[in-house]
Amino acid sequence: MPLSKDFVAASAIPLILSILERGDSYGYAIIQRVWELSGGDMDWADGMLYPILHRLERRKLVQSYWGEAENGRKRKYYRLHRSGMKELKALRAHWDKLHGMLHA
Amino acid sequence: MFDLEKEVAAWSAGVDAGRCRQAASAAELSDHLYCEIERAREDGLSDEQAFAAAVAKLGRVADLTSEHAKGRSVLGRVCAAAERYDNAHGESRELLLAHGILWAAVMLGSSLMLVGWAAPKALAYLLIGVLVPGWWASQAVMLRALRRRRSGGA
Repeated sequence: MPLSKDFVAASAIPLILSILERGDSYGYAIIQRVWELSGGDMDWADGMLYPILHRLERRKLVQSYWGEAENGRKRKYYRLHRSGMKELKALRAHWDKLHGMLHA
Repeated sequence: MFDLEKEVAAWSAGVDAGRCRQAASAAELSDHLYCEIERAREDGLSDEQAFAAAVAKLGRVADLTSEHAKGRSVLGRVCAAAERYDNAHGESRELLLAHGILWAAVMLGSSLMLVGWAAPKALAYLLIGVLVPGWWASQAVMLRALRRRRSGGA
């Protein structure tokens, strides 16, 4: 089922925060995880993720750090900040509310 | 012989653009590119095919650059605008630069001359009323002519 561009855009931040809640991750892995979680229906354009991650970092919802990949390559990881947890909680409440409204 | 490391480094240098972009962003995107290449290799593609597929998936450098600048600082936005301007007028860059330098020289020369004559009011009128609008108008005419030439040649 193809998902609309607006829906993909609106759900991007809650999805990223929720993936990072389960553990630190990096750009490529986040995109793969979104694809898996959606059963292949949500295929993010690779270039779209990083501006969002950087924006979240500026808002201090996530924090980045440089680490090393298994093959020794330099890799930038992201971790959820405490304020990101709060934001995720609020976003979940909003989406739950919407879900309830749609199924009322 | 296709040199993957070299190609990735060249791609990364393009993303970095050597001026507005932070090297850290280019490093992050290079890692992403390598991840895509590794996946394409697992699908049985050669290094060259894997690189081409990964670049196509990640998007054009210009798109990435402007995408990255969205929502950034004022400097970031200025850089993105410069990038777009560069992409639109890349082949006429020298001409536009020469035009800008010429007008800057005219403004500077007039300013020095009028300051020497102790006529600051005349300088202000000349700059605001003649030179700046003159520069702006001639730039607009030139860009229009360039656009026409490009669309005529396309």
